[in-house]
Amino acid sequence: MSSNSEPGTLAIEGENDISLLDILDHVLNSGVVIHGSLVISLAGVDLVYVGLNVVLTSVETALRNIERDL
Amino acid sequence: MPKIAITLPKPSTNPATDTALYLYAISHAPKQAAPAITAEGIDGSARVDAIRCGEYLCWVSRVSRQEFGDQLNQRMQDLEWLATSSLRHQHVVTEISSNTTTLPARFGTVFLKEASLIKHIKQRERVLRAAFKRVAGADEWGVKVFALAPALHVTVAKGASGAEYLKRKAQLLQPRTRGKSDAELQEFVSSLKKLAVATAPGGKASAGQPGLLWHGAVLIRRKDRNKLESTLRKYAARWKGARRIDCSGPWPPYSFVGEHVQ
Repeated sequence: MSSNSEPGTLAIEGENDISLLDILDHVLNSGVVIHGSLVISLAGVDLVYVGLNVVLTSVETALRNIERDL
Repeated sequence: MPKIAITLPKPSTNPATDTALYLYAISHAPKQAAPAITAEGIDGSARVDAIRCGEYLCWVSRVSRQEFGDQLNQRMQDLEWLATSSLRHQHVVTEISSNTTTLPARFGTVFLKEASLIKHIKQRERVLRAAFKRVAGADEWGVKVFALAPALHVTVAKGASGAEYLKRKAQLLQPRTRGKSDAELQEFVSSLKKLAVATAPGGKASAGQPGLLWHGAVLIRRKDRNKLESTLRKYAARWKGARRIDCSGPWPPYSFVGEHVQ
C-alpha cells in the first residue's frame, strides 16, 4: 500500500475494511481553513459552515445506538 | 373530457445564486496544468475543478446551494447521505493528494461565491504555509486501542445463589483499565508521540465505540512508517487477548491542518 492509495488498515490482526466511523473520524476531524463551529450567516454572503459540532453529537449518538442494537 | 396540456415553467437556474462551492482541499499551484480529477464529485455528478488563488489551487465542485448550503445541517443528520457524501469527499481528497502535498478541507466546507473563497484563503496564508510545511512528506494514521471483552464464562460453586453468579459476572465485565495497564497505555501513547511529527485527539464519530480505551490521529513521516508498524506490532503482541489495536491509514492529513495542532 503506497501513501497514494486509499486508506486501509495496517495488518496487525487481520481486518481490512475501513468503517464509516473511521472515515467520519478523519473527514470531520479539524480540516483546513476553518475549525470549531464557526457560523457565518447566509446573509453575510460568505461562508456556510453549519454548526458541525452539533451535528457530530447527533451522529455520534445515532452510531452508538446502532452499535447497541447490533 | 379533453386533456389540457399544462406547461409548467422550468425552474430557473442562476449559477450565481443557485450554486455554492464545495471545497475539498488546497494544494500548491503547479507550474504545469494540474492533473484532472476523475473521482466522483460530492453530489455524485459535479466535476471537480481547481480554482487558482495566488500560489494555491482550491479544489472545488459547484453544487446545489440548497443541498449543500441551506440544508447541509439537516442532510448531515441522515446517516446514509452522510456516509455516501463523506466517502466521495474522501475519494476526491485522496486523488488530489496522490499528486502533491495537500491540505484537506473538513467535510462540509462550503462557500457561496468564488470571491469569498479567495478572500478566505488570502486571509489565512500564514496558517496555510505553516500547515503545508508540517504535513509535507507525512501521512495521517488513526490508532485505536480497545479492551477486549473478557471471557463471559462464570463458574460459581455448586449451590451458589443467583445473586452470587451475577456479582461474579459483573466483576468480569468491568473494563480492565486500572493500575498497571493504564501505565502501559500511557507508555504506548508516548512512544507514538515520539515517532510522530504531531498527534491529535481522535475523531468524535468513534468516541462511543464499546471498549475504546484510547484513540488518536498521528502524523507520521513516510520514511517512519515501518517504525509505526513495529511499535503497533510490539504492543499488539504484548496485549494479546486483553487489548486490540486498530490502525487505519494512510489518510490525507485531515487532523493536522487546523490552527490548533499539538
